[in-house]
Amino acid sequence: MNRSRTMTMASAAIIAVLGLSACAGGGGGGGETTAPEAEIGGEIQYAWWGGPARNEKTQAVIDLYQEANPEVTVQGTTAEFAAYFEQATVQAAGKNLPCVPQMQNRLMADYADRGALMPLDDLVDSGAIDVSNIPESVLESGRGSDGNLYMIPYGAAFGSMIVNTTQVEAAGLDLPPEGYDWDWLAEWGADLTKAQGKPSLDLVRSQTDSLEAWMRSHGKDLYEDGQLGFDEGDLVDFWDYVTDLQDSGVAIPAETASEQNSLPLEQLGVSTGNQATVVWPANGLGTAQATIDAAAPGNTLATYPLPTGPDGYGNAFWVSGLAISANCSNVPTAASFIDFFVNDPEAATVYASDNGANVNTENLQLILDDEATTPAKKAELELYAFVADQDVAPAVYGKGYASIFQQNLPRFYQQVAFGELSSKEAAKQFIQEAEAVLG
Amino acid sequence: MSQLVADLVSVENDEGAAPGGRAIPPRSAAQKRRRRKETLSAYAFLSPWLLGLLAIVLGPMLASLYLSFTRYDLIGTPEFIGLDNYVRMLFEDPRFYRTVGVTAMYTLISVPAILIFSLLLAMFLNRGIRFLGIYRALFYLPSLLGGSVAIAVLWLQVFGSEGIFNAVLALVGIDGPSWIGSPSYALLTVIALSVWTFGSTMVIFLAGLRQIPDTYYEAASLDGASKFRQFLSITLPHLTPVIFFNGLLTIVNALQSFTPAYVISGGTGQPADSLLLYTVYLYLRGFVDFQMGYASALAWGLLLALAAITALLFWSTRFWVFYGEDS
Repeated sequence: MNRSRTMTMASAAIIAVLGLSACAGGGGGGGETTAPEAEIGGEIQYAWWGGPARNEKTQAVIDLYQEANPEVTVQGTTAEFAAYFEQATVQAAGKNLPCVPQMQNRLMADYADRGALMPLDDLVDSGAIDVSNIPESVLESGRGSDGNLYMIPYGAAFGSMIVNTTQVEAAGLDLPPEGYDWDWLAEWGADLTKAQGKPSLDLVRSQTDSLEAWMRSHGKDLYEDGQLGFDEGDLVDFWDYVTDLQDSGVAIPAETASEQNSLPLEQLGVSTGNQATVVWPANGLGTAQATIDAAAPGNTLATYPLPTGPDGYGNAFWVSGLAISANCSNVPTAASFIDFFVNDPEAATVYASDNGANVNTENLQLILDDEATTPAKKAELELYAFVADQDVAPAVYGKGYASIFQQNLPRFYQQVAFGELSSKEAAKQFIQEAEAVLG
Repeated sequence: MSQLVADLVSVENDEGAAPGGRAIPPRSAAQKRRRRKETLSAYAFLSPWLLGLLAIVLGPMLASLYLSFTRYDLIGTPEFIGLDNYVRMLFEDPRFYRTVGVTAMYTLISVPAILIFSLLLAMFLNRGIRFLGIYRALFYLPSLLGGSVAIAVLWLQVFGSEGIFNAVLALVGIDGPSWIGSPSYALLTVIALSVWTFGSTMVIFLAGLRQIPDTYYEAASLDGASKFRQFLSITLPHLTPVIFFNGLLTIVNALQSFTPAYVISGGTGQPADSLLLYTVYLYLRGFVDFQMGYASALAWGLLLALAAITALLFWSTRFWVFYGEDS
C-alpha cells in the first residue's frame, strides 16, 4: 500500500469519525446521514471465538466481504471461547480491543457497562447497519443495562441434551419424549446406566447450562434485574438433584467432571462413543457427529431440548453477535462489515449458522433450503424453531457471568461433591460471593 | 540503583587506569575530564538496558504498587481506597489462606524433591560413564519443555482417569484414580511435573561435583572411609554453596509457578481449589473477576514474601554453607 493512499484512508477515517460524533451530538436530527461509500476503506480487525471448522467458515465470509469491498482489509484473529474473553478483557483495558469484537449476551455486560463498546443505535438509525430481518425480541439481547444497543445479533445458540440414539435403542429404552422433565430424566438415566454398566448422564461437568435450565424451568433465572435470580434454597435443590445422580453412579463422578471441565466437545465421551448423553449447546451436534463417525462409526447422535419443569421449558437463547469497540477508529468500515455479516445471503450460507441459528429470518430459511446444509445442522435448526415456538422468555444477563457462573459455581459444587462442604453451606457461600461481585 | 551502576563503572575505570598494579599517579584535571567522558559513554552504552529496566520492569512495578491501593476494574479509572485491599487479603478472604496453603504445600514438597532427585542424577552422571554427553542432554531436555503449555496438556492426557498412566497400572491390576480430577492427587501430579524439569539444577550440581578435588576422596579411601561416609563428609559440605544457589532458585521458581497448574486445572485452580497456586489465584482475581487492584495487592504480597524468604535464606547460610577453608 503506498503512502498517499494510506494518508487518504486515514483522513477518510478521521472525517468519518468526526462526522459520526457530530451526528451523535446532533441527537435525533442526524438520522439522515447515511454513510456514503467513500468512507468505507482501510483496515479493520475482526476477532471471534471458535475451533478450526468455524475459523474456516469465518475466513470465507471475510473473503466474500473483501471481494465486494476491495478497498477494505479485514484482519481476523481467533481463539477458543474462554481464551477469547480473557484476551478481550486485557485488550479492552489497554483500549486496543479489535474494531469488531464478537460478543455474546451472557458476557457482554462486563464490556458494555464499562464503556468498552460503542452504542450502535445511531448506525442502525442511519441505515449503515440493517436490522430489519432480525426479530425485535432477539435484537433486545444486544442491549446493555442502559438500554443502548451494543451488539448486532447474528446467531442464537441454546443448551441441549445430545443423545446417542443408537446406544439408547440398543439398551431397549425410549428416546426422550416431547416435554420430558427432570424426574423422567433421572429415571431414564438410571435405566440407561443399568443397561450399559457406566454413567450415562452429564449434568455437572460445566454445570452452568444445566443450572440455568433448572432455574428457568422452575420459574427462576440466573439474573433478575441485574441481581441473582434465585436463592440459596433453589441452588440446594439443584445440587441435591445432581449429587443424588452422581452418588448412584448415573451421572459422571466429580473427578471425571472436574477433569473434563475444560475439554472441547471432540474429546468428551459422547463424541467418542463412551457416553450416551451430554449437555452441550445444540450447535455442537455437527461436530460431535463428525467425531463419532470417525471414532465409533455406526452411532447416530441427536439433540433434544433440556428437561422441562413446573414452569415449562428451561432453555434460554445465548445470542452471539458483532459489536464495535469504543476505541475503533474506522467505524464506517466496521459498520459495513457487520451489515454484510448479518445480512448478506451468500455470507449466511457460507457461515451456515455455525455459531447458533442465524437470527436473520430470511437467511435462516436460505440455510434450511440449501442442499449443502448437513442433516445434523438441519436437525439443530429445526430444534431451534421448535424451542423458539415454546415461548422462551428472553434471558437477560447481568455483569460478572464469567466470574459467578463459570468460575464460582463449579468451584463450590466441587466442594460439595468432594465432601468438603454441605450443599447448604456451599450455596450460602456461593450467594455471598455472587452478591459481592454484583454489588 | 544508578549510584550502584556509577560505582561499578568507576571501579572498572580504576582498574583500567592502573594496569599491572602500578602506582596510580595523581589525577590531573584533564584526566578527570576524560573519566567523566568515560562515565558518560558507559551510561550511553547502558542506556538501552536502563530504559528497558525502567519501562518494562520498574515502571509497571510502581504502577502495580499504586494500583494495589485502589479499586480498579481494568477498564474504568482506579479509585483510591487506601489499605483496603491488604486488609481484605489478610483478614477477609478465606481463599487467600487457601492459596497460601496450596502454594506452601507445593513448595515444601517440590523443592526438596527436585534438589534430591537432581543431585542423585548428577552423582550418577559424574562417575565417568560412557556417552555422558548424550545422557546429560537427554536428562536436560525435560527442563526445556517442562514449563510449556504443550507438556501440561500432555500431562492431562497421561494422568487423566483414562490416561496412559492408569492403563499401565491396569496391567498390574491396579484401578488407578483420576490423578487430575481428584483433589487428593491433583497437586501431587503437578508436583511430579515440576520434579520432571530437574535438568538445570542437575547441570549445576554436576558442575559443583566436578569442582571437588579428587585428593579428598583419595585421602578418605586410604583412611578406609565408606562411600556413604565420603558423601556425608566430603561431597555434601563442598556442595553446600551449590545447594544454596539451587535451593534459592528452585524456591523462587516454585512460588511463582503458574503454567502447569493453570493448564491442568483449565484455568480455574480446580478440583475444589486444590491447584489454586498463588499466581493462579492472582490471575483469576485480576482477569476473571476484574479486581486488578486486589490482584496487585496479591502480587506485592508475593513479592514481600519472596524477599523475606530470600533474606532468611541468605542469613541462614552462615550456619550451613561451606565456602572452603580460607573463608
